[in-house]
Amino acid sequence: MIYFFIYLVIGFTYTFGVMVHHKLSREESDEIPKLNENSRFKIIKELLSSCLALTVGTLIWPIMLYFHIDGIINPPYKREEFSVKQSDLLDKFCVGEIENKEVINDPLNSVPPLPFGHLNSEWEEFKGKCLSTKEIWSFKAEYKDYSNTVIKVGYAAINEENVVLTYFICEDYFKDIELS
Amino acid sequence: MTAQISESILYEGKQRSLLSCPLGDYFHLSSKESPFNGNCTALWRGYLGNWEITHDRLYLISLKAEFDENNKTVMEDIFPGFNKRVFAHWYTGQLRIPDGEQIEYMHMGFGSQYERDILITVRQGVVEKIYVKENSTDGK
Repeated sequence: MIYFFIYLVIGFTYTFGVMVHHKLSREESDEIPKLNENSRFKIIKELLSSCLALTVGTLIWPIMLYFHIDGIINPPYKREEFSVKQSDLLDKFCVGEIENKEVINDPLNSVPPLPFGHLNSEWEEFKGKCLSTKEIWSFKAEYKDYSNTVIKVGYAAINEENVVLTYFICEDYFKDIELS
Repeated sequence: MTAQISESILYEGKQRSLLSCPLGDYFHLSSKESPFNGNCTALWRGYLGNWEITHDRLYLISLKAEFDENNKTVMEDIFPGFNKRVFAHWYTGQLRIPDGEQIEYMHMGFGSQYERDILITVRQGVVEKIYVKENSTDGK
Protein backbone atom coordinates (compact mmCIF):
# COMPACT_ATOMS: atom_id res chain seq x y z
CA MET A 1 0.00 0.00 0.00
CA ILE A 2 2.84 2.34 0.92
CA TYR A 3 4.39 1.78 -2.54
CA PHE A 4 1.12 2.66 -4.25
CA PHE A 5 0.91 5.81 -2.14
CA ILE A 6 4.49 6.78 -3.14
CA TYR A 7 3.57 6.05 -6.79
CA LEU A 8 0.58 8.43 -6.54
CA VAL A 9 2.61 11.16 -4.78
CA ILE A 10 5.29 11.03 -7.49
CA GLY A 11 2.59 11.06 -10.17
CA PHE A 12 0.75 13.97 -8.60
CA THR A 13 3.93 16.02 -8.16
CA TYR A 14 5.16 15.28 -11.69
CA THR A 15 1.78 16.00 -13.32
CA PHE A 16 1.32 19.17 -11.30
CA GLY A 17 4.79 20.36 -12.35
CA VAL A 18 4.08 19.63 -16.03
CA MET A 19 0.74 21.46 -15.84
CA VAL A 20 2.26 24.56 -14.20
CA HIS A 21 5.05 24.60 -16.79
CA HIS A 22 2.54 24.20 -19.61
CA LYS A 23 0.31 26.95 -18.20
CA LEU A 24 3.22 29.39 -17.83
CA SER A 25 4.60 28.74 -21.31
CA ARG A 26 1.09 29.07 -22.81
CA GLU A 27 0.52 32.42 -21.10
CA GLU A 28 3.79 33.71 -22.55
CA SER A 29 2.74 32.80 -26.10
CA ASP A 30 -0.91 33.97 -25.79
CA GLU A 31 -0.58 37.60 -26.81
CA ILE A 32 -4.19 38.22 -27.79
CA PRO A 33 -6.71 37.52 -25.02
CA LYS A 34 -9.93 35.78 -25.96
CA LEU A 35 -12.59 38.42 -25.51
CA ASN A 36 -15.73 36.57 -26.45
CA GLU A 37 -15.59 33.72 -24.02
CA ASN A 38 -17.71 33.95 -20.90
CA SER A 39 -15.16 34.27 -18.07
CA ARG A 40 -17.09 32.27 -15.42
CA PHE A 41 -17.68 29.42 -17.84
CA LYS A 42 -14.01 29.58 -18.82
CA ILE A 43 -12.85 29.28 -15.18
CA ILE A 44 -15.12 26.28 -14.52
CA LYS A 45 -14.02 24.64 -17.76
CA GLU A 46 -10.34 25.14 -16.94
CA LEU A 47 -10.80 23.91 -13.36
CA LEU A 48 -12.58 20.73 -14.50
CA SER A 49 -10.06 20.00 -17.23
CA SER A 50 -7.17 20.60 -14.80
CA CYS A 51 -8.69 18.21 -12.23
CA LEU A 52 -9.22 15.58 -14.89
CA ALA A 53 -5.68 15.99 -16.24
CA LEU A 54 -4.24 15.83 -12.70
CA THR A 55 -6.19 12.65 -11.89
CA VAL A 56 -5.28 10.89 -15.12
CA GLY A 57 -1.66 12.09 -14.92
CA THR A 58 -1.30 10.86 -11.32
CA LEU A 59 -2.37 7.38 -12.44
CA ILE A 60 -0.48 7.06 -15.73
CA TRP A 61 2.56 9.25 -15.09
CA PRO A 62 5.15 6.62 -16.18
CA ILE A 63 3.66 6.73 -19.70
CA MET A 64 3.78 10.52 -19.69
CA LEU A 65 7.35 10.41 -18.42
CA TYR A 66 8.30 7.99 -21.19
CA PHE A 67 6.97 10.32 -23.90
CA HIS A 68 8.53 13.31 -22.15
CA ILE A 69 12.00 11.70 -22.14
CA ASP A 70 11.50 10.41 -25.70
CA GLY A 71 10.67 13.96 -26.81
CA ILE A 72 13.91 15.23 -25.26
CA ILE A 73 16.07 12.45 -26.76
CA ASN A 74 14.35 12.53 -30.18
CA PRO A 75 13.12 16.10 -30.59
CA PRO A 76 10.49 16.61 -33.34
CA TYR A 77 11.86 17.76 -36.71
CA LYS A 78 11.88 21.52 -37.02
CA ARG A 79 12.01 22.97 -40.51
CA GLU A 80 15.06 25.13 -40.98
CA GLU A 81 14.37 28.80 -41.67
CA PHE A 82 15.84 29.67 -45.09
CA SER A 83 18.50 32.34 -45.17
CA VAL A 84 21.27 33.30 -47.58
CA LYS A 85 24.65 32.87 -45.90
CA GLN A 86 27.90 34.56 -46.91
CA SER A 87 29.25 31.20 -48.07
CA ASP A 88 26.35 30.99 -50.60
CA LEU A 89 27.41 34.17 -52.39
CA LEU A 90 28.99 33.65 -55.82
CA ASP A 91 29.73 36.84 -57.81
CA LYS A 92 29.21 40.56 -57.42
CA PHE A 93 27.05 42.35 -60.01
CA CYS A 94 25.59 45.75 -60.63
CA VAL A 95 21.88 46.07 -61.44
CA GLY A 96 22.52 46.82 -65.13
CA GLU A 97 24.64 43.69 -65.58
CA ILE A 98 21.96 41.51 -64.00
CA GLU A 99 19.21 43.06 -66.06
CA ASN A 100 21.13 42.45 -69.30
CA LYS A 101 22.00 38.90 -68.33
CA GLU A 102 18.55 37.85 -67.12
CA VAL A 103 16.27 39.00 -69.93
CA ILE A 104 14.16 36.00 -70.91
CA ASN A 105 13.73 35.43 -74.62
CA ASP A 106 11.31 33.01 -76.16
CA PRO A 107 10.89 32.01 -79.82
CA LEU A 108 7.11 31.93 -79.37
CA ASN A 109 7.02 35.33 -77.63
CA SER A 110 5.19 33.99 -74.62
CA VAL A 111 7.17 35.84 -72.00
CA PRO A 112 7.66 39.57 -71.49
CA PRO A 113 11.15 40.48 -72.83
CA LEU A 114 12.17 41.85 -69.43
CA PRO A 115 14.65 40.76 -66.77
CA PHE A 116 13.28 37.57 -65.19
CA GLY A 117 10.26 37.54 -67.54
CA HIS A 118 7.11 36.61 -65.67
CA LEU A 119 8.96 37.23 -62.39
CA ASN A 120 9.84 40.81 -63.37
CA SER A 121 7.52 42.47 -60.82
CA GLU A 122 9.25 40.50 -58.02
CA TRP A 123 12.65 41.62 -59.38
CA GLU A 124 11.46 45.26 -59.45
CA GLU A 125 10.29 44.90 -55.86
CA PHE A 126 13.70 43.51 -54.87
CA LYS A 127 15.46 46.37 -56.71
CA GLY A 128 13.36 48.87 -54.76
CA LYS A 129 14.64 47.36 -51.50
CA CYS A 130 18.27 47.52 -52.73
CA LEU A 131 18.56 51.29 -53.05
CA SER A 132 20.54 51.73 -49.83
CA THR A 133 22.55 48.52 -50.06
CA LYS A 134 26.22 48.27 -50.88
CA GLU A 135 26.37 45.41 -53.37
CA ILE A 136 24.30 42.76 -55.11
CA TRP A 137 25.68 39.24 -55.31
CA SER A 138 24.40 36.16 -57.06
CA PHE A 139 23.91 33.17 -54.77
CA LYS A 140 23.21 29.47 -54.82
CA ALA A 141 22.04 28.07 -51.51
CA GLU A 142 21.18 24.58 -50.29
CA TYR A 143 18.21 24.21 -48.01
CA LYS A 144 16.84 21.16 -46.20
CA ASP A 145 13.10 21.01 -46.81
CA TYR A 146 11.77 18.02 -44.84
CA SER A 147 13.19 15.00 -46.67
CA ASN A 148 14.57 16.86 -49.68
CA THR A 149 17.48 19.17 -50.27
CA VAL A 150 16.36 22.18 -52.23
CA ILE A 151 18.59 24.49 -54.25
CA LYS A 152 17.67 28.15 -54.33
CA VAL A 153 19.33 30.44 -56.85
CA GLY A 154 19.02 34.20 -57.02
CA TYR A 155 20.47 37.54 -56.01
CA ALA A 156 21.17 38.94 -52.56
CA ALA A 157 21.73 42.52 -51.42
CA ILE A 158 24.40 43.04 -48.79
CA ASN A 159 25.20 46.05 -46.59
CA GLU A 160 28.48 47.69 -45.52
CA GLU A 161 29.10 44.93 -42.96
CA ASN A 162 28.60 42.28 -45.66
CA VAL A 163 25.35 41.15 -44.05
CA VAL A 164 22.65 39.85 -46.42
CA LEU A 165 19.71 42.24 -46.11
CA THR A 166 17.28 40.87 -48.66
CA TYR A 167 17.25 38.44 -51.56
CA PHE A 168 15.38 37.52 -54.71
CA ILE A 169 14.98 33.88 -55.77
CA CYS A 170 14.60 33.05 -59.45
CA GLU A 171 15.16 29.27 -59.31
CA ASP A 172 14.06 26.75 -56.71
CA TYR A 173 14.44 23.03 -57.33
CA PHE A 174 15.23 19.70 -55.72
CA LYS A 175 18.93 18.96 -55.61
CA ASP A 176 18.49 15.40 -56.89
CA ILE A 177 17.69 16.63 -60.40
CA GLU A 178 21.32 17.78 -60.65
CA LEU A 179 22.32 14.16 -60.18
CA SER A 180 19.74 12.63 -62.55
CA MET B 1 -4.32 12.35 -48.71
CA THR B 2 -6.42 11.42 -51.69
CA ALA B 3 -4.90 10.65 -55.09
CA GLN B 4 -4.73 13.93 -57.01
CA ILE B 5 -6.13 14.64 -60.46
CA SER B 6 -3.23 15.14 -62.86
CA GLU B 7 -2.37 18.08 -65.06
CA SER B 8 -2.35 17.42 -68.80
CA ILE B 9 0.38 17.91 -71.38
CA LEU B 10 0.64 17.81 -75.14
CA TYR B 11 3.83 15.86 -75.77
CA GLU B 12 4.94 14.52 -79.15
CA GLY B 13 1.50 15.26 -80.60
CA LYS B 14 -0.35 13.27 -77.96
CA GLN B 15 -2.39 14.55 -75.03
CA ARG B 16 -1.12 12.88 -71.84
CA SER B 17 -1.33 13.14 -68.06
CA LEU B 18 1.32 15.17 -66.29
CA LEU B 19 2.13 14.19 -62.72
CA SER B 20 3.93 17.42 -61.82
CA CYS B 21 2.65 20.91 -61.02
CA PRO B 22 4.96 23.56 -62.52
CA LEU B 23 2.50 26.36 -61.78
CA GLY B 24 2.88 25.71 -58.05
CA ASP B 25 6.52 26.80 -58.38
CA TYR B 26 5.40 30.05 -59.97
CA PHE B 27 3.13 30.89 -57.03
CA HIS B 28 5.95 29.94 -54.67
CA LEU B 29 8.63 32.05 -56.38
CA SER B 30 6.43 35.05 -57.06
CA SER B 31 4.91 34.99 -53.56
CA LYS B 32 1.58 35.56 -55.32
CA GLU B 33 -1.30 33.84 -53.66
CA SER B 34 -2.96 31.22 -55.81
CA PRO B 35 -6.45 32.46 -56.80
CA PHE B 36 -7.71 28.86 -56.76
CA ASN B 37 -9.43 27.09 -53.90
CA GLY B 38 -9.06 23.44 -53.01
CA ASN B 39 -12.73 22.49 -52.84
CA CYS B 40 -12.18 18.83 -53.55
CA THR B 41 -9.85 16.42 -51.77
CA ALA B 42 -8.81 15.03 -55.16
CA LEU B 43 -7.64 18.46 -56.32
CA TRP B 44 -6.14 20.44 -53.47
CA ARG B 45 -4.48 22.87 -55.90
CA GLY B 46 -7.95 23.84 -57.24
CA TYR B 47 -6.99 24.17 -60.91
CA LEU B 48 -6.18 22.10 -63.94
CA GLY B 49 -3.36 23.27 -66.16
CA ASN B 50 -2.78 22.18 -69.73
CA TRP B 51 0.87 22.23 -70.79
CA GLU B 52 2.84 21.65 -73.95
CA ILE B 53 6.41 20.73 -74.78
CA THR B 54 7.41 22.33 -78.05
CA HIS B 55 10.63 23.94 -79.33
CA ASP B 56 12.29 22.05 -76.43
CA ARG B 57 10.47 24.29 -73.98
CA LEU B 58 7.67 23.97 -71.48
CA TYR B 59 4.60 26.12 -72.01
CA LEU B 60 1.38 26.58 -70.12
CA ILE B 61 -1.38 26.76 -72.73
CA SER B 62 -4.55 26.89 -70.64
CA LEU B 63 -5.71 26.99 -67.09
CA LYS B 64 -9.06 26.70 -65.36
CA ALA B 65 -10.48 26.41 -61.89
CA GLU B 66 -12.11 23.09 -61.10
CA PHE B 67 -14.82 22.24 -58.55
CA ASP B 68 -15.42 25.97 -58.12
CA GLU B 69 -18.15 27.31 -60.41
CA ASN B 70 -17.70 30.89 -59.23
CA ASN B 71 -14.00 31.03 -60.00
CA LYS B 72 -13.57 32.32 -63.54
CA THR B 73 -9.80 32.83 -63.30
CA VAL B 74 -8.04 32.32 -66.62
CA MET B 75 -4.38 32.32 -67.61
CA GLU B 76 -4.36 36.02 -68.45
CA ASP B 77 -5.44 36.95 -64.92
CA ILE B 78 -2.20 35.46 -63.64
CA PHE B 79 -0.01 36.35 -66.64
CA PRO B 80 -1.41 39.66 -67.96
CA GLY B 81 -1.05 40.02 -71.73
CA PHE B 82 -0.60 36.28 -72.29
CA ASN B 83 -3.82 34.47 -73.05
CA LYS B 84 -2.62 31.75 -75.43
CA ARG B 85 0.70 30.51 -74.16
CA VAL B 86 3.10 31.18 -71.30
CA PHE B 87 6.75 30.10 -71.29
CA ALA B 88 7.38 28.39 -67.93
CA HIS B 89 10.92 29.79 -67.52
CA TRP B 90 10.49 29.78 -63.72
CA TYR B 91 10.36 26.00 -63.64
CA THR B 92 13.38 23.84 -62.95
CA GLY B 93 12.61 20.25 -62.08
CA GLN B 94 11.51 16.94 -63.43
CA LEU B 95 8.23 16.43 -65.29
CA ARG B 96 6.70 12.99 -64.92
CA ILE B 97 4.46 11.75 -67.72
CA PRO B 98 2.99 8.30 -67.06
CA ASP B 99 2.87 5.84 -69.94
CA GLY B 100 1.17 2.46 -70.27
CA GLU B 101 -1.25 0.78 -67.89
CA GLN B 102 -1.54 1.61 -64.21
CA ILE B 103 0.23 -1.19 -62.31
CA GLU B 104 -0.31 0.02 -58.76
CA TYR B 105 -2.85 2.43 -57.37
CA MET B 106 -1.82 4.60 -54.45
CA HIS B 107 -4.40 6.69 -52.64
CA MET B 108 -2.00 9.59 -52.22
CA GLY B 109 -0.89 12.50 -54.41
CA PHE B 110 0.67 11.31 -57.65
CA GLY B 111 1.85 8.09 -56.00
CA SER B 112 0.24 5.59 -58.42
CA GLN B 113 2.65 3.63 -60.59
CA TYR B 114 2.39 3.02 -64.33
CA GLU B 115 4.26 0.70 -66.67
CA ARG B 116 6.61 3.50 -67.66
CA ASP B 117 7.39 7.07 -66.70
CA ILE B 118 8.64 9.55 -69.25
CA LEU B 119 10.89 11.79 -67.15
CA ILE B 120 11.75 15.17 -68.60
CA THR B 121 14.36 17.27 -66.84
CA VAL B 122 13.62 20.93 -67.38
CA ARG B 123 15.94 23.79 -66.44
CA GLN B 124 14.44 27.28 -66.42
CA GLY B 125 11.70 26.08 -68.75
CA VAL B 126 14.05 24.49 -71.28
CA VAL B 127 14.15 20.73 -71.76
CA GLU B 128 17.54 19.38 -70.77
CA LYS B 129 17.09 15.63 -70.77
CA ILE B 130 14.39 13.04 -71.50
CA TYR B 131 14.47 9.42 -70.45
CA VAL B 132 12.00 6.62 -70.01
CA LYS B 133 11.91 4.66 -66.78
CA GLU B 134 10.41 1.17 -66.80
CA ASN B 135 8.50 0.43 -63.60
CA SER B 136 7.61 -2.80 -61.90
CA THR B 137 5.23 -3.39 -59.01
CA ASP B 138 8.04 -4.37 -56.63
CA GLY B 139 9.43 -0.84 -56.99
CA LYS B 140 12.63 -1.84 -58.82
